[in-house]
Amino acid sequence: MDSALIPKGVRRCSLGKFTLFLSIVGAVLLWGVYAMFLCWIKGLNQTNMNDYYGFALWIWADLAVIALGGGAFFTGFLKYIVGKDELKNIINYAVLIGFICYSSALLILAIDIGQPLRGWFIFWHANVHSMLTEVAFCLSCYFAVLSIEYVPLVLENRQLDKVPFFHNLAHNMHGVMAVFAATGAFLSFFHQGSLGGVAGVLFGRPFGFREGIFVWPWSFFLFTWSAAACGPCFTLLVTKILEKSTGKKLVADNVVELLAKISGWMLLTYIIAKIADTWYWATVTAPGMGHTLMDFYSNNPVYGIWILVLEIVIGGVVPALILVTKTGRKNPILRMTAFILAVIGVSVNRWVMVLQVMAVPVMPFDIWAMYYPSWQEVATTILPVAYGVILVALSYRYLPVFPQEPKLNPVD
Amino acid sequence: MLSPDVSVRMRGVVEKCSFCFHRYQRAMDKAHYEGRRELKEEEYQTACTQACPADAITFGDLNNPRHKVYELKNDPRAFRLLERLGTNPKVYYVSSREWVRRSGDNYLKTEEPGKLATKH
Repeated sequence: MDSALIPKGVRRCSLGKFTLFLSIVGAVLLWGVYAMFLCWIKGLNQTNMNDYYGFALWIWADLAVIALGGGAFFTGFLKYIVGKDELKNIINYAVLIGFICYSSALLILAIDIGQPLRGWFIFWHANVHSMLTEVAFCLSCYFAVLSIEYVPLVLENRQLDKVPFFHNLAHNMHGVMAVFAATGAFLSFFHQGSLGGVAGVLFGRPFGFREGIFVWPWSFFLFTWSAAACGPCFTLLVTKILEKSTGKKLVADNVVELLAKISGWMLLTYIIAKIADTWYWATVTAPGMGHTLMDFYSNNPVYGIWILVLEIVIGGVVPALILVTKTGRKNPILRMTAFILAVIGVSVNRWVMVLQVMAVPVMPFDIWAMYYPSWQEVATTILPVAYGVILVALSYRYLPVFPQEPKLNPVD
Repeated sequence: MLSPDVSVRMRGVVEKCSFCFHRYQRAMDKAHYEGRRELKEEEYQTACTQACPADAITFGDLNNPRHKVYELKNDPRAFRLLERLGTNPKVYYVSSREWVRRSGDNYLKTEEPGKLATKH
């Protein structure tokens, strides 16, 4: 029924099957939307945040999706600035994932401020001393850039492309895309960094505080670096998930291997820097404030030393070593394991740098601030996932997201 | 309790001790009209300092060598709460008891609070 909208040369499932899939994911989405409206109408008392512990689960989700969305800016940077032309086969999808991640981040922020009608305060009454102000500005600008990068793909829909204006607009936008890719890379460097900087400048929070250079704590650079390293891993992971669920090969192996190799080297250099940073913090910075490393990982029910091992060894060293070795990245199972571990690693890093920072006792008589999310927080954190699945499904069905698909899956 | 000299924050906002800022303004105004830039120690004192029967509080300019607090802050028994974090609080406590000084900040087991180099 909707065959006129489906790109030429590819096969899609029936509209009935597609609608059924959408309605199942849509139900989850509606659950999240319901929780979102509860937060807006009844207020933030719907969450388990309080004056003592003011960071909810969704703040972690916010930082995690921004890190995982880093695949868009870094793949764009590699394709348009460095000139890795093979990546044109995955750049559309990377942009789509980035667009989903960043629009989700903005949505989460809109829920987190509790009063979205006052969302413009952050721009109008900007607190110029806060790193988060820079994050808000760069995030909004970069979201605009991602929209500009996503629009030409939408305009390439078979029916929209028939309109001469849209066809020419998309064509011209493709022509100047390098400018936007460069702008995106520039903006991303700063907002990814500032998100890390937020934890690093907290000198009253010994778990987060780091030394650095000029106004930038080391965590500034580590955040940018880890997003550039793990973002492409996430892009490749969701590509694989889409390939599995559609039963088709969508991106050629040489493209995947190239991005995996670059990602692996980024991850290896990142994790070396991260280990050095952790070592210095554990042996110099924290003891200077009267804390030992184990103070941060004991006397509480959740945060044990395992979390540090999970983040750095299992989610960092292991995937890095798999991806930099040729045998590792050529083996589909090992490669996929590395992607999953890298995504877990960066997500755990964002978790500890946001939620554990706030939980660690600071005063000698203090206790750990343990918190568990309310169902509203869980629902609003799952909401962006459902939204992302729907947008991927719609884009995959109606837009030529993967240029190699017709060649890799010839229709008889 | 409302005072015409002190602006209070809206409901729900914790009020920090203002160190009797209205008294400071009054003293500065007086000094200004008399052509002076510096306050004498007794010209600006907080209400709690003056009301304390045990004389437990000493108030003054930490940067002024002529003030009593300048001498007190350099006392080896002086400490600040969570001083090592670098939050630079302006309230000093003086105690000759080691365990009191120790409970005001975080220390490694091997460290002795009184013997560490202080940042003030």
